[in-house]
Amino acid sequence: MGGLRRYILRRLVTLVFVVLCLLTIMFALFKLLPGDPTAIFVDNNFSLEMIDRTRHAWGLDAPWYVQYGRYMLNMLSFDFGTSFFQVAPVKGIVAEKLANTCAMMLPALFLSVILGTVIGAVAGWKRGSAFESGTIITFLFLRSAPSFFVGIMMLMVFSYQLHWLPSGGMVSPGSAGAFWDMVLSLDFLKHLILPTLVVFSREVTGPALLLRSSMLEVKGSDFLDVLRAKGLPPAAIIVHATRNALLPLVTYVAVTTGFIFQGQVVLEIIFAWPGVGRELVTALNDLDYPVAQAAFYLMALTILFLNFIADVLYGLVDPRITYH
Amino acid sequence: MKILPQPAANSSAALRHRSGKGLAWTLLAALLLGAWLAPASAWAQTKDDFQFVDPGIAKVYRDQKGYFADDPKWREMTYPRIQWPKKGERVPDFEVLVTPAFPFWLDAMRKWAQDAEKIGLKYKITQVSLTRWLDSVNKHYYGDVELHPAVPRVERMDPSEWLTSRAYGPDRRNYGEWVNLEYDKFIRAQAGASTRKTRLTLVQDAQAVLADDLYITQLGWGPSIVQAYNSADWEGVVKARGFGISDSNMFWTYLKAKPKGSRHRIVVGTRDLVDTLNITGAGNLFRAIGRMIYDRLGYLDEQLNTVPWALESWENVDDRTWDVVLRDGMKFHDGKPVTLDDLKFTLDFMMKYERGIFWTANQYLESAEILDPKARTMRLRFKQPYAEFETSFVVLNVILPKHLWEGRMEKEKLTDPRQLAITQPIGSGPFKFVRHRKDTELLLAANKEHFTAPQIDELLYVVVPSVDGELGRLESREIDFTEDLNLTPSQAKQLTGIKHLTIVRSQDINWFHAVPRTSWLPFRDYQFRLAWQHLFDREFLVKVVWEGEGRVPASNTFLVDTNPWNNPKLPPVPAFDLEKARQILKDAGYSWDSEGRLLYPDPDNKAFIERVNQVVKPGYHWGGLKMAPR
Repeated sequence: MGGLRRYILRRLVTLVFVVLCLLTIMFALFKLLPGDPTAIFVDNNFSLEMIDRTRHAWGLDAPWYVQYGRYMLNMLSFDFGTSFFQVAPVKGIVAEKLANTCAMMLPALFLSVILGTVIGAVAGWKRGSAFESGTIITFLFLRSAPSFFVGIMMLMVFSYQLHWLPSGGMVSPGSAGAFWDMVLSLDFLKHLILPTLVVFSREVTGPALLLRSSMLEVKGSDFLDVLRAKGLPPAAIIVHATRNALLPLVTYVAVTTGFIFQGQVVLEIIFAWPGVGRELVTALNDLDYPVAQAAFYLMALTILFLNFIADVLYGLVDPRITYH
Repeated sequence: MKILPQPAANSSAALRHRSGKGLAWTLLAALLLGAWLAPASAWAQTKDDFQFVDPGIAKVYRDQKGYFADDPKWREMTYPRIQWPKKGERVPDFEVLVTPAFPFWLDAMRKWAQDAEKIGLKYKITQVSLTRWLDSVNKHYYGDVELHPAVPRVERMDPSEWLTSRAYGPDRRNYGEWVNLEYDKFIRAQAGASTRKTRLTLVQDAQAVLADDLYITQLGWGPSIVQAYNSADWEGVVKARGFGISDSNMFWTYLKAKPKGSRHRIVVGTRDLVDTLNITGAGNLFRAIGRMIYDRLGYLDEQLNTVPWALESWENVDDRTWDVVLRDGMKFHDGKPVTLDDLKFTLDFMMKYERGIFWTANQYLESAEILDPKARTMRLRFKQPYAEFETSFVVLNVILPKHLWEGRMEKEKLTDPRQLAITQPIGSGPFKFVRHRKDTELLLAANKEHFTAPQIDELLYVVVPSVDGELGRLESREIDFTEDLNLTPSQAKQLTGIKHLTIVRSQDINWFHAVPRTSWLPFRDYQFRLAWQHLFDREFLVKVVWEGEGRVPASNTFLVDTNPWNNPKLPPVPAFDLEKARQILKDAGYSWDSEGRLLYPDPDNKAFIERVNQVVKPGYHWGGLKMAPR
């Protein structure tokens, strides 16, 4: 276990170094972006004195190293400052939007991993069967279909033509309230169905195809012959085989979960979902540095952290892996 | 061929290899140094390299910190273009910025660039984000030709908004850096005119100079305002000139519309909602919605005439002084009465903090004194004769509740009112704020005690981020109106025939124009400007890009024929005629090289030298940037 502790410590140090580099690169990139964030923020009929005062009020007139120092300290203490445009704390803005995105993505991702694993395992186990061929063809088709196309088609059919499901938003017009009040309502579930179906139709293909390939490798292993010789029923053997085939899925799930925090800009626009993806695009267009920086930082942190967890979990899931 | 292992480090091959490496490094270093030195030398120009004809203009262009001659980038861009061309020198490629926020720019510009190539001119069209475009325009980095659309807002109803901001010599927003001293005289005179009639004459005179000197070129008037609404549930919509039926800047429909059925809530789709509920720092949409919550002093009727609102009347005492009468019986949404104290507090607050968009309306206000509380009269005094009182000051200013705003800045130690967190705006307007969830919806309730109480009970703005989404929700009856959707003919056709929808066309006051940089070559040459104006196939924009929903401009003015300040006697816009353009250029001394590219006239062409020095059409006087010494 001492090896594992050393490994975790080493990875943590690397993680901190990567975060510092990331923050520095982000600062430089935002500074290199063409355009002045005050271009939209100040009215073009302002006097020069007013523009100067505005730049001073937002700290944009300080030398770059002072801005860098303030930025690093603030980011590391998770103080993201105030949005240029919304004149509200960035933390609240990003947290709200992140929660909305999670509310859309997590159910779909959960379903995708569970069902994708089962379907992939069965398809791999039944190598050469009609089920396997059908699964591959269907899933490759779903994986190739662009989300915006699937989303618009679903809206056209289920919302505009059949009027079965709402066409967008998290809740019906006029019902928006506090986050938990909305999320725990039946109305929300109705609004969640179409986006979930679109995300699911794409995300289910990853674990399914991955597990199918992994299963093919495990299928010829000696330990399965031992299990058969012990007289275990086929279903139990599949479970054992699946457990051994799961390893690549750990990384996949960790990385995919990290990426959902980027938001799904296209889906958020199609389904009028107030998520973090839309917020980020708006912030970048408006040069609202504080919001964009906070969103990027949180996304990167989440991906780094989940990768770190995946690395540690490897050892726990697969006892063959040891740490020196 | 077999690759052999590297020889020993001290062998001659290794030395050669090393010296080759050294040479590469030296070359790289030289390149980097060169790259560093090149802009450095270009930036080496000083303010003194830029001379101006008029001393007042020189002050504007040389003393504004970070702008014009004080800006190295502006100097770098401008300097080469005020050098006299050498013999046989090509007219350079024209840089133009377009933004995806207005997709029709690129569609039209591609065709115009192809046409321009036929007479030897090339455009370099670059697509940038809206923010970058705004930044480039504000800093005068846009290149040779600035494209600009008119986006109607209440703030832009005064003729000065365009005439002054886009063409007045000393104004920083004069993007073409055009300084016609005769035009500037008219602009100063109209700003101080005491009657509307006098002002109209001066505004029309200014337009005549603008058109005659070929400063801007109008590319299209429009696009037209075509909107759809749910006529099965609502009647009594109001068409406002320049704004249509459902723009919060002109919210007559939301006041007058009557429900046909039992639903008393109007649902409006909007692609964007508000960034902040603080009206002093809000963007266009919440400034408009904010003026539904806070009563404004005056309002515009459907034909854009100023009408009384929170002010019952106003009287011109002299050209700097106005006496105003506050309407009786108004109440804030929390039940407190609206008094002269509230009005005085608001105006003092705006003066003290020079706030936000209200700056335009208040920069000339000197004092606001209560004359007679019983008669509800107040005297407003301005720093200079102020012709924009009705069209700007009265229409833009609102009344803030003193009991809620007083002392907040000091208490929260703020210097900028935009930093105030206003979560529950309370005003006295026809709509009360109920709730807002960012990027989702905003709900207003009718103030039934208001002097123009709405017929409806509630007004709900719902965010629908895409045009297709807005169209779909109109079709499925989920929204009744759209805030920001101007239908193209194809979209209107798509919605035609849907029983519950009606398509409405309203009179527009829009335009789309191009501003050439008249302060540099070749646009300093009036004859070149004339030829250049003949290169635009404006019918292509109107008939193809706008699908017929617009007009070919009748004249080169910001104040189009539907604008109350229009001058109907302006000369027509030079028509699209490539041969005529070629002939004008030929007659003016321009020629073409073997590749068909346009060349400047000979350096010793006296007529060309005179035109370039004079810039403006003979008869007018130039006050702007001079060419570099020959």
